[in-house]
Amino acid sequence: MKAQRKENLVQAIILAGFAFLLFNLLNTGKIVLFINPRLAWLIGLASVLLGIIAIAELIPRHDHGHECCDHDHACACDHGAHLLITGNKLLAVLFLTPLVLGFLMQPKVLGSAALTNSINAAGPVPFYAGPFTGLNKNGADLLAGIMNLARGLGRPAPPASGNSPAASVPGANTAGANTQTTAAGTDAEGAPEASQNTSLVQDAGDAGPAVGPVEDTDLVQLDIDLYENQAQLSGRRFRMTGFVYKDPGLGKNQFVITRFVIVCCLLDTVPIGIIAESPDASDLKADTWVEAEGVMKMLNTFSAADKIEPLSNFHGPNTDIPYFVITSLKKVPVPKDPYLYPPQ
Amino acid sequence: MNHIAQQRTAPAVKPGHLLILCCLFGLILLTTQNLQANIWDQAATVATLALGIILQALPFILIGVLAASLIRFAISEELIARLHPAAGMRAVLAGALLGLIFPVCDCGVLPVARGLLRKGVSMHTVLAYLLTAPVINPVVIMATALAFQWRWNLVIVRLAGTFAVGATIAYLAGYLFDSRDFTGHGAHERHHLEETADAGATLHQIFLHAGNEFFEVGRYLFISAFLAAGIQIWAPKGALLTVAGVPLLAPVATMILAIAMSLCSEADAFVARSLANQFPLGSIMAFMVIGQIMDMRNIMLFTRNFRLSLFLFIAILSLGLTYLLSLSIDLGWWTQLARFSLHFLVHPIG
Repeated sequence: MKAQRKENLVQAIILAGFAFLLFNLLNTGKIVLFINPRLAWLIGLASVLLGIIAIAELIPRHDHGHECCDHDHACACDHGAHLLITGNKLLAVLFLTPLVLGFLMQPKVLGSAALTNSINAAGPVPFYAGPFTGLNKNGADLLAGIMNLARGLGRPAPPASGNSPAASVPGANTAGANTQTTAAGTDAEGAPEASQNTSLVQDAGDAGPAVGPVEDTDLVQLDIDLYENQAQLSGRRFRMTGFVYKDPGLGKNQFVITRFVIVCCLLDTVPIGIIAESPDASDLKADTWVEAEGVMKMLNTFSAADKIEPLSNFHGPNTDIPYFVITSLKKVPVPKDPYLYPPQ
Repeated sequence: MNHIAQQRTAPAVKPGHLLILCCLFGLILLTTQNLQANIWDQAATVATLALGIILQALPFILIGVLAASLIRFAISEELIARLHPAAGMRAVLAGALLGLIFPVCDCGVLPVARGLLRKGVSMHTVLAYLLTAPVINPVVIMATALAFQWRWNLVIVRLAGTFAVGATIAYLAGYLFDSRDFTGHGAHERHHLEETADAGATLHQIFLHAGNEFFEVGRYLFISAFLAAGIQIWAPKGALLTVAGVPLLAPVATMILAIAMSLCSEADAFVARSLANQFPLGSIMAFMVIGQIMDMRNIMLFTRNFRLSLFLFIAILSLGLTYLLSLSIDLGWWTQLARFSLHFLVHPIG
């Protein structure tokens, strides 16, 4: 019985620790280093639930005549070892590790270490050669496949997006007809992508190619637009902030100006990036945060002069990828809110 | 009572062994990497990633253990016996749709399933729930739709794929295995139930039981969070991604990725989307289907709770069926498969 009390006490301490950790992360705003703030309310909920369970563990039980936990056999609560934490030191360590890390460790802002072996950088299509939406190129195949599935099932294919059905659905159909049998990536036709309401292209008409200093660019939106409206954005000036990622396939004067987009939590972050060129590139260390101003160009990676090894394996001869020629570059500290979020 | 304890632990794979295996695997991974690269940077990234996974999963686990606790104390056996179909295809269907009422992620689903089984729900229903609920629930349906920009076709393909694999396994396993293969408890459980029914349920008991379940399930979440984070940073994935153009190998690659990455069901669609840049539709579907039935977290949870034969049955069948499903989408056999499944739903064998 005493052992059971001790077990409950230890459990309560651990639970309260977690409740406090979550509360603390919310309170200090550090939660944005772990999950999309849109989901922060879930963390609040978890904190409250943990607190309640911790209090329940502390309340002594009086009607122990009926408690399963008074029997000396394995009880129906189904916990193999009954003194879960106090009876198993390894388990106690396991539960204390995230607590200690959460309180004492300054969370690491994801950088090149999280890219090197990731599915986004290690594959034949590195992240800086495709849009954030991930539905271009083979994405057209993907969409075509679904359209065919829908047709086969006798269902009318619903519009691809609520935003601009007129623009996207016909595109989807042509892509479907074309890409059904084409090999991956050789189809240069732009994928059907719903243009967003906040598209940068829309204000391009008014402003024209800007010459003076420009506002900091919404990289997520830019990344989407770059693959939809290449012509309009080519030659325009942009200013953007990101960290330096040095891909082994790139030249000495090139790096990828990169940001991570948190969709849900850290594990599913998607990197977005644009190859940048600057004479200062070779002096920059990986993971340095920079603010860069320059001109957006479209680079045909297939032509021998601009050949970029990892890209020319994948891209067809008519494919251009965005290429940012930096005119002014300065180092900046790591932002308090280093991650971007996908458009709603 | 000793023989019950023995009966319970003997056939199951010891989680400790699995843990040691995983650690060895991690060590090998570590040593093969070039260590002069900023190892501390990487270690800090792994720790941060693991914390991120734990933080994201905590709310869903808590909801899961509380739901399990509520089922245990607040729902009577008679009610369940009256409501749910005894066995066969109907029971499987009921189990698959149950996820819409008890939305839990793949870490929280096991306590709920165990709670249902203890209340006398058939293996058909419980297994169907266990295998499909992480995907067939409102939260994950919305997350998938969001990831693929409200292309509902894709969401439907994912749901149908998960249902096809999960329901087939549950249907077959329901006949081949009984509840003792799940928790190994059976008779002891029954005896105990009468006891708690007398005691009456209090709020205090519900929270206490939820706390115990939290520590029971949480350990697997914590281990798998650190493992998944380590794999994310240290395991080279280039080789897997190069087979994207080979139709027979592409689903194998995405399935390995899904098992290794052990993503939560609310999050995996977003990763699947970035894979969609490189892989065909069937392989993307394989990634999203197998990842919620067999990932490292589930392997640990299943080996702890299932008899080895049941675990192997689920593992082999789910891998095989997912591969078949993926190929059938990519090679265009899916119409025949859909027709066959519909036929089977209407006229089940047996």
